[in-house]
Amino acid sequence: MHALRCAALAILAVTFAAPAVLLAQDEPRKNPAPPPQEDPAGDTAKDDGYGGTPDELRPFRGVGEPARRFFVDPPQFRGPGRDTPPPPGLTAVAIGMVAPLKGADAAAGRAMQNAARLALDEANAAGGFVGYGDAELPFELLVREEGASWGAAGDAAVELVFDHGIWGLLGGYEDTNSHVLTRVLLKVEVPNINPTGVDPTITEHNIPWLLRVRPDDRQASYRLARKVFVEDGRERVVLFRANSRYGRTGTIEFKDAARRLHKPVLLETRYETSYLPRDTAGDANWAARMERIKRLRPDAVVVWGRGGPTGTAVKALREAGIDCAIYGPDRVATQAFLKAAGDAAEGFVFTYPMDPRTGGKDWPRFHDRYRERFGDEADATAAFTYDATRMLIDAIRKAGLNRARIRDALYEIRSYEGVTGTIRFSPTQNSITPVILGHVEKGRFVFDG
Amino acid sequence: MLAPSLRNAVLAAATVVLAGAAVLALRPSAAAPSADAEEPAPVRPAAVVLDPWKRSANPRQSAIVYDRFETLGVADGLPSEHVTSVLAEGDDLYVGTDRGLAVRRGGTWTVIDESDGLSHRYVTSVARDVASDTTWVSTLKGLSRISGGDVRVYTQKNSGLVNDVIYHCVTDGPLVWCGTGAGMSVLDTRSGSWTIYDTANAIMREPWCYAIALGPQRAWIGLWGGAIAELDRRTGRWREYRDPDGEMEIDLLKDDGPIHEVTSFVAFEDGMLWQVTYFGMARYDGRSWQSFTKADAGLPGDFMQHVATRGRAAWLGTDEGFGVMRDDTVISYVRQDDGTCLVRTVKAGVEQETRTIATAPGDNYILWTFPRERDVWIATGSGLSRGIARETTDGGDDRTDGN
Repeated sequence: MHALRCAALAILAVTFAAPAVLLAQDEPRKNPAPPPQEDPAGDTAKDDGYGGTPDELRPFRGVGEPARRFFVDPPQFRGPGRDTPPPPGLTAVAIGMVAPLKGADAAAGRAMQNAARLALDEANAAGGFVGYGDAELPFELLVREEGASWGAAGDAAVELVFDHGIWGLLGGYEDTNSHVLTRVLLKVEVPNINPTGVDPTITEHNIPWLLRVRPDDRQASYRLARKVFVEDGRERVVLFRANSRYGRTGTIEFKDAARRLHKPVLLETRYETSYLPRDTAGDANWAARMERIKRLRPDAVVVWGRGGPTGTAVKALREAGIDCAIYGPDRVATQAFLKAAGDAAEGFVFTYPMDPRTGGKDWPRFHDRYRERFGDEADATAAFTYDATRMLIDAIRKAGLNRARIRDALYEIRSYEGVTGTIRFSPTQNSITPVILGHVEKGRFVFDG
Repeated sequence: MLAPSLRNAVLAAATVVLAGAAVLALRPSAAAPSADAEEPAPVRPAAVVLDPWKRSANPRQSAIVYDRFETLGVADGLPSEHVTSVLAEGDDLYVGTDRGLAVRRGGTWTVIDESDGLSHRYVTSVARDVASDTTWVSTLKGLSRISGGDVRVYTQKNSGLVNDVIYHCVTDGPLVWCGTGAGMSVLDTRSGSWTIYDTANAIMREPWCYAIALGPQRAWIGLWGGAIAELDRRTGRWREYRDPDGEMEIDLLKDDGPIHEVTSFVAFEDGMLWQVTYFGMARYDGRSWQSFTKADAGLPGDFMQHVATRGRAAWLGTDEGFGVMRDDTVISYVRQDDGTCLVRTVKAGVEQETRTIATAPGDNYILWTFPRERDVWIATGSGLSRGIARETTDGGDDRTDGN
């Protein structure tokens, strides 16, 4: 009986092995397989607490179950197009990027471009894209300015899709532009990975063509609220934010969290970003504003805005004699902030979307290669853009040159091991990876975890 | 030193000039009006106050039960199977696709694309001024006017169009409303002047305008992030309709307002405002809101990209089929894998009837519908379909939008 079983197994082994050998001989070249992705935290497609919201911060938790919960299941693309073949005559696999190339966010735009180019060059060195007939196609990056005017990102996306046939889009950085992009991409059916946007609502629409790989201001707000109110025990908090859409939308979740912890902010007041990069002289009411904050005797001020203007605002707070703890999100934590704030930056506590002390498993290699090539230190913007680009490349290689299938491949990813660490996705394909804290010490950013 | 009388005269003249300039500056117009412009469009002071919420005693009638579908594609003359919008006038059709505008007149198809001067190949909507036989085409790269064989293009660089990405255009007498990714632009064709509505002069929190619906002395703008903005065109006043719970991830109370802040389309007719979203739909009769989803009302799907109205019914374009809602009844039409169509009738959330008919729309991915008295044109991801109502043989059809 044993001998018979062994013989049967041997026959089976030969039967299956022979075609495999034949396949190996005749098989066309294949794209490198994407690294296996696991979900260490379990199935993140099931998100009972939306956006990783702690139970105590859930909206209306005291009034029972809402009539409807959205974003429970991942959005689906149910349209046709999965059988559409690629067009003839391709010489490259084009990937688009919309990023800030000028203005206050130009440094972020440079980091995005550098990181994406690094990822694409590595992919091309490893064979580019295989699977378009016999050709081996290089990946190429096409970059456009995102913020020349309201809606410019949409114009750029239309041009990239229809004139250059991109297979996926990276960006944007400024959240207004990202919103404009999303709706355009629903029309033209091209996947978009957002590596840098912070507005929580970017992924709150059910459009099935968008992923975000970095944790947003919802995660930053939850972590800051815990730090400010629970860990540091602050009671009298003033919110001092940029008079901009970023300042308005970024602080919504923090204010909600403060209220739900029964410690609503005492005052929300604003600074104009148009003059604060230089000084406070452009604001005739500045002194009165400072006096108003002082009179409230806050034990913490939470600032929210771009680095440079917020640095000037923090410096002015200190000069006005407001010496309480100051907190803010990662977009404050820039070199421009340190420069503008000077000594006033000392002790500033901030959130950060990744842990640069450890990163992911390839973080040291990425960091070294980035510095070697661009002569600059890779920051979170660069690191998340690198991860986003690699995810897109992997999806294109897996799905082939079909946008709907590339989208499907991206939406299959529940978590991703990148240079930034493990990225966990919510059902809206938004990163719900926890953020870390850091502080400024002797003029440098120190990361605490 | 000027004499007092002269100084007073200069001051008076300066006051007039400055006041005039101030009036002009306050006008939300991108271009100076020409001399024959009658009044600031599109706000029109009127002595008579109309109630937009008043229901008509004789609303437009329509069949809402279709027993047969036929589908046109590339083989029939369309430039693409990806149909984005449709407008019908008698036997004439104006069909937007991702490869240009297809026009069927006198049974003959003509395709107008970029080679003919169309501003972009991707057409998002079509509007008509029948009196002047002018066709307005919104695209992802500007507005095109087709008249007398000529195509004229309006972009943000040569006109008061606030952004080139236009999601919807509507004609309203001499006005052409364009909902764009950066605000609402309105062209007054009499003067050539443009009016822009955005976060600077309207109630919008964000300027992302996706659809426009017009009613008696009112305009409603479907917004991404802000639900619906209403302009009283008689007074110029704005009002907003928002989801009161203020949270994107929930709808706290079912019938307390728009179902979500992200509106994908709006329509208005006979005293009813309809909002569709990617989460379901809502309607407002001037007093109260009601909202509906696939789960609780039998909609074919919750991801909705278009709503059209006729009489008291609304035609719903979803990514899982199309449906018609009248009062509390929803009839959904969903294509099956074998090419047949599952027709399901749900009344007040309770299933009434399910049946299968032999033909179906070309695809369940519906981007636009254009209902008429006895048929409906349907823009799908796989062709242009037409739903045809059962022929009446007994002098009436109780399954129409009769009242």
